[in-house]
Amino acid sequence: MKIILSLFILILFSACEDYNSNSADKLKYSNEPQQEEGGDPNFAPAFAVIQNRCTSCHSGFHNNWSTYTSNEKWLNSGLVNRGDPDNSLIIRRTINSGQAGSNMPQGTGAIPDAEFETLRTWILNIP
Amino acid sequence: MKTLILFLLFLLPFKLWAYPNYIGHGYPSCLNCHFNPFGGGQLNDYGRAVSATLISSRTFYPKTWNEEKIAYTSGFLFRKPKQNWFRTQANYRGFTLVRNPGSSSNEDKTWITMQLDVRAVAKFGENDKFIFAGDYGKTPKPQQPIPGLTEDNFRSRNLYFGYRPNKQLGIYAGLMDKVYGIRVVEHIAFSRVVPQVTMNDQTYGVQAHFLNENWEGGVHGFVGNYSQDADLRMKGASTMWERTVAKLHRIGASFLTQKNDYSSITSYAVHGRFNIKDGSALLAELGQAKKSTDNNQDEGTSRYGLLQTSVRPWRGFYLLANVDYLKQDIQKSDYTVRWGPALQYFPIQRLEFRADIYDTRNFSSSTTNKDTWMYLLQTHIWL
Repeated sequence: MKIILSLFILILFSACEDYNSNSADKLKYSNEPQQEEGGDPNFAPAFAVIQNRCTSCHSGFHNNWSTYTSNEKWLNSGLVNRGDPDNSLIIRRTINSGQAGSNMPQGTGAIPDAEFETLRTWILNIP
Repeated sequence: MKTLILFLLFLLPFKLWAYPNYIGHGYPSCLNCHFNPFGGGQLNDYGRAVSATLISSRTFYPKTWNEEKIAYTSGFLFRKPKQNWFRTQANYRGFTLVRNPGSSSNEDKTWITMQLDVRAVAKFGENDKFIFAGDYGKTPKPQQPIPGLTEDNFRSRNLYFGYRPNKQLGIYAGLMDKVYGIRVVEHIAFSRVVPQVTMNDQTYGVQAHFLNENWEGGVHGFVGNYSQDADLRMKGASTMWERTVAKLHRIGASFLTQKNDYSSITSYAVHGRFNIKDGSALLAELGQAKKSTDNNQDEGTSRYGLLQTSVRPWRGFYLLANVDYLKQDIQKSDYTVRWGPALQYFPIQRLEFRADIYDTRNFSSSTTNKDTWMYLLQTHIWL
């Protein structure tokens, strides 16, 4: 019995930080300002939308969007054009152009209008 | 040596799920086959024997073996247990997931080890009135990576103590799944994702389970998962009740409310599990979830539905059909339907092959969407 109890205790304390449906709640829903370095107040809300809507698929080696944690990384990715949401791929791909790769995100409903505007506001105001 | 083997087993990387469609075999209560009265987790001796003599095909068993002998070989490592107080189980489940099959530009093929775990139950007292259950295993990489968190880890999904003074009442305390709705295998089902009762949403708490001839149900008070930061832990309560109808079927209702420092969700659902005889069943669930968040993002009420048929043409085979429905915001007309057939085959006990096809279609008043197709081929082995 002592052995079994010891093993369970071992299991209990060997677990690291577990993730579940709520792991990104702070990032997505907190009212506290979470500005990126450089102080862009629009980044965190936009990044939260991307985390919520895009990274389930865009998580490969070459396009792991969750690692684009600054404006600079997004600009370098070619997906975002500073100040020009209409010519930013990340916006254009969410619109249904009838072409392959458009109408993102695939397999779920369209991005809600408010979240779409969050993305546009971010790109429009990148310092 | 025995200690060493046990220790090594616990160090191995991890989930056997509940199969609520087995009401089609005349088992309305999960307690018949699982140590956890709400299903999922480790099988008890009876559950192992049922899986060998009723669920699995007998094609590959010697013809000279009768069902009793098959049942005797259903224990861990094909042995009949030599003692009565300790049971263990090991599981592996992996699958190939193919998204957008046939597309030259978007096809994406991935192998996912969904489950690699070991489980153990120590049980004591008359009619096993005391149990101590736990598991440990590998958790697959999350679909939505979380910055700052390890993407791939090992964890316990069950770690609890149970006291069952009689068949009618059980009290359980520790890390367990939330008591809510139908605990279907498909963890991507909207009926699991929307109320946040998926494969990783276990919580520490106390459950009471009640059972009598016509009713079964439970209440669950919980405080979140202690392996998370305190601000993220979902605290709340849930309840689920089912009534037996015409001795064969179950209809039920659930309620769940939970909250952390950033969001809160209140969900409620009605469900039915219907025995279509000879192993076939129909499962249905319809629910709503109201979500509130600190920054008003993702707020609103969502409606979801699940319809699953399970038809057993012959022993060992199940033909499944799933229809999954989601209306993300009940104020809007847009909704999503994911549907598709599946084939499940148990050639022998301990081995399951399953093939699923899913088509997801978005119905929108403002945009036209292409369907998204995917299929998965999975293998599940347990000892």
